Amino acid sequence: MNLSLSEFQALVRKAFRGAGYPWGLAEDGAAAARTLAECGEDAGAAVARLLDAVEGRELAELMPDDNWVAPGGTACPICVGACLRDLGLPDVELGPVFEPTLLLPEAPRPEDRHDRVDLDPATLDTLEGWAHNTYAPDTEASRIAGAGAGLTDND
Amino acid sequence: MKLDRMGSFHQCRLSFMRTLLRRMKREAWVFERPRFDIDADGVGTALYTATTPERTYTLVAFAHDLPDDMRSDRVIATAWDTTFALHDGIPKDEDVERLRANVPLQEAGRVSGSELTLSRANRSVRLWSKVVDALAAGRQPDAELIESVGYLMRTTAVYGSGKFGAADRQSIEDRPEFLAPFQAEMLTVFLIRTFVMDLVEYMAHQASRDAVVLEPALRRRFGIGNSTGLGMAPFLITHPRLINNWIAAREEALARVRAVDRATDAEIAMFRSFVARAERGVARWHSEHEIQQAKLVDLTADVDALLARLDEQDLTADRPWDALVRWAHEALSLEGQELVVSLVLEPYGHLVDDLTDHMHADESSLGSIDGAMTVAELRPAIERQYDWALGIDWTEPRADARAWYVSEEKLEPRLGERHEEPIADYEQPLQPGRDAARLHADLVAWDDGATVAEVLRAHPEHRHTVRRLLLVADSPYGEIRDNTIDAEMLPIDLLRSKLSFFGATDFDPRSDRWVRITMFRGAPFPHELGELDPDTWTYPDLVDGSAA
Repeated sequence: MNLSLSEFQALVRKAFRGAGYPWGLAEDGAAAARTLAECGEDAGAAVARLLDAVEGRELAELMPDDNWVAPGGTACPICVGACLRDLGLPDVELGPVFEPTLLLPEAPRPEDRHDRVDLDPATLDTLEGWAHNTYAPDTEASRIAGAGAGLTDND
Repeated sequence: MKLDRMGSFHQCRLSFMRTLLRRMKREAWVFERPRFDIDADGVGTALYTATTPERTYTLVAFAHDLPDDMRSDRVIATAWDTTFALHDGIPKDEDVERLRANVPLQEAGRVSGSELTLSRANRSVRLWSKVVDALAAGRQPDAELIESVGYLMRTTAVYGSGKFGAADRQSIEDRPEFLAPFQAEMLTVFLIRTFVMDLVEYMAHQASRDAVVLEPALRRRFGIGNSTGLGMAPFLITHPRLINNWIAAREEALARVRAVDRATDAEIAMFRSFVARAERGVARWHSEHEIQQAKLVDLTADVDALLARLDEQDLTADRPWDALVRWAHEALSLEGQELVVSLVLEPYGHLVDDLTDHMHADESSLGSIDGAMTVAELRPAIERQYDWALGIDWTEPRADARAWYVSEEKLEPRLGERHEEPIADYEQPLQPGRDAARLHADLVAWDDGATVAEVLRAHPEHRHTVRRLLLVADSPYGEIRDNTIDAEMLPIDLLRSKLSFFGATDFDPRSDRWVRITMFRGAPFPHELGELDPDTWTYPDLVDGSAA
C-alpha cells in the first residue's frame, strides 16, 4: 500500500506504543522511521522486525547503560537514538543494537527525499497488528457516550 | 489560555475561510464546472475547477441515492448523500473512475498523493425537499426557514494532510495558496457549497420545467453545515506550535488595533455597522443546548451593553479601541468580550490581514530535548508552565475522571469515564497537566545536579512530557492551561476554538462533546467574487436581500 509520510508516521507511532513503548519513545521511533523512509529505505520492515525482536522484553533491558551497552545484551535503536540525541550526538562506541538502520536518521539526510511510503502487505499487517493494541475494545455504552452523539442524526 | 475563553471565540478577519476568499478575489481565481452528469434521481458525478494564477484544483463530486435510514452524522456512518475529493490538477477520466471506486467508501477507501482532501456531506432532511418543492413550484423558499437551518447539506468530515493516502501538507505548503492553515479544506467546502446549490436547483428543474432558481441574496444565506465531534478535539493538544501561532496572531492583531491613536470617521462608521449586524446575528443565533442557550442570553445582554456603551464612549478620542476593549473586559461575559475582539479587527484589514501569513507551523518535526539540562533547571520550568496543574489534587477522582482513548471499532477518538470503564490502559497522551504533575512528583527523588538525559533514561515514560514542556516553554499560547480530563471539562470548548479559526458561525452544541456549525454562510459564490466583498459576509445584512 502507498501511504503518505504523515500516515506512515502515525501508524509507526501507534505500533511502538502498541508494542509497549511509552508515548515519548514511540514518537521518536515514528520520527526515525519517517526520516528513514524519506531516505528511500524500507523503514516499515525495519520497525516490524524490531518489534518482533523485542517482543516480551522489558524496556530497561533494551536501554543502553553508561557504556552504551544494553543490560539485555542488544539495545533498542530507538532508545539508543533518543539517548544520543539528548546528549547532542556525542562520538561514542555502541554495543550491539537491533535493526541499526533505525539509527541512521541520526546521520545527515540526503537532499533528494521520498515523499511517499510503499508498505508490503505483510509489513502493513504487522504494524497494524501492533497498532491495534492501542485501541480500546468497544462497548455499546462507549459507542454512544464516548463520542457524545446518538446513533442516528437524521434531520 | 483557558478552555472557557477558547470556547467563546468567534470568527474574525484572520479566520481561514476569509483568508481564502480574500486570496481568491485578489488573484482573480477562475471557477468552472466542466462536468455535471447527474440523473433525475440526483445520482451522478460533477467536477468543479478552481484555477489560481499558477494551478488548477478540481472538486470531484459524487452524488448518491441514500435511503433516509442510512443517514448519520456520526463518523461511524458508512454511506452518505454526497462524497468528495479535491484533486490536485485536472483529473483524467481514469482518475475520476479511480476516485469513484474509493471516495464513496470514505475511510474504507484510499486516495492518492494527487488528492488533497476527502470529504462527504448529508442533506438536511428538514430543508432539502422544501427548497426543491418551492423552486419546482416556481416560488422562492421561505426565508425564515432558511435562516433557522442555514444549510442544505452538512459535511461530517473533511480529511486532509495525508489522511487516507492524500498528499501530505508538507508536500503542498510551499504553494502560497496553501501556506495558511486548512486552505485546501476550506477550498473543498467552498466548492461543495457551490455544488450543493447547483444540485438543489437542478433537482427542482427535474421536478418541473417551470422551476425557478434561487434569488442571489437568498441563495447566499445557505452555508454548508458541519457536524463536529470529538475527532477534532485532540488536535488542539497535539499541535501546540500551530495553536500558539493562531492565538499569537490574534493577540498581535488585537494589540495593533488597540494601539491605534485615532480612528478615522470611516473606521468608526464601519465598526458601528458591524456591531449592528452582529446584533442581528446574535438575535438569529439559535441553539438547542442549554449551555449555549445560557451563553446566548449573556451575549444578547452584552450586545445591548455594547450598543449603550457606544452611545456614551467617544470613539473619536485617543486610543478608542483600547478603551473599548478594556471596558468589555470588565463589563461583558467571555462571549461578549471575544465578540468585541473580533469586531474591532473588522475596520483594520490593512493593519492585521498580513498576520495570516504567520499562522502556519511545522508540526512534523519532534521538539528536541536538551539532555544536559539539570533537574535544578527542569523543576522551575515545570512550575512556571504548569503551576495550574501542580495546584490540582490528582488523587481526587473528579480531577482525572476522564480518559481520552481511541475506539477499536471505528478508530475514532473518544472520551470515557476512567473510574467506570476499562479504558485507562488505552489512554492517549492528551492530559499535559496531569502528566506534568507526575513528572514533577518523580523529580523529588533526583538531585538538583542530575541531568534530563539521566532522568529520561530511568523514566522513559516522562519523555513525551519533557519534550512538550521544552516546546511550550517557547510557545506562550501552545498549552491550554486547563485540565483536559477533569469531570467538568467541556470538549465543545476545544471544538469551538478551532472552528472559530476556520471561520465557522452559528455554533450549536448538541451535547458537551458534539457541535453543529455553519461554514461560508452569507459568502459570495465563485461567480460573485468579482463584484462582492470577500470579507463582509460573516454577519447578516441589516436589510434582508441587500448585497453583502
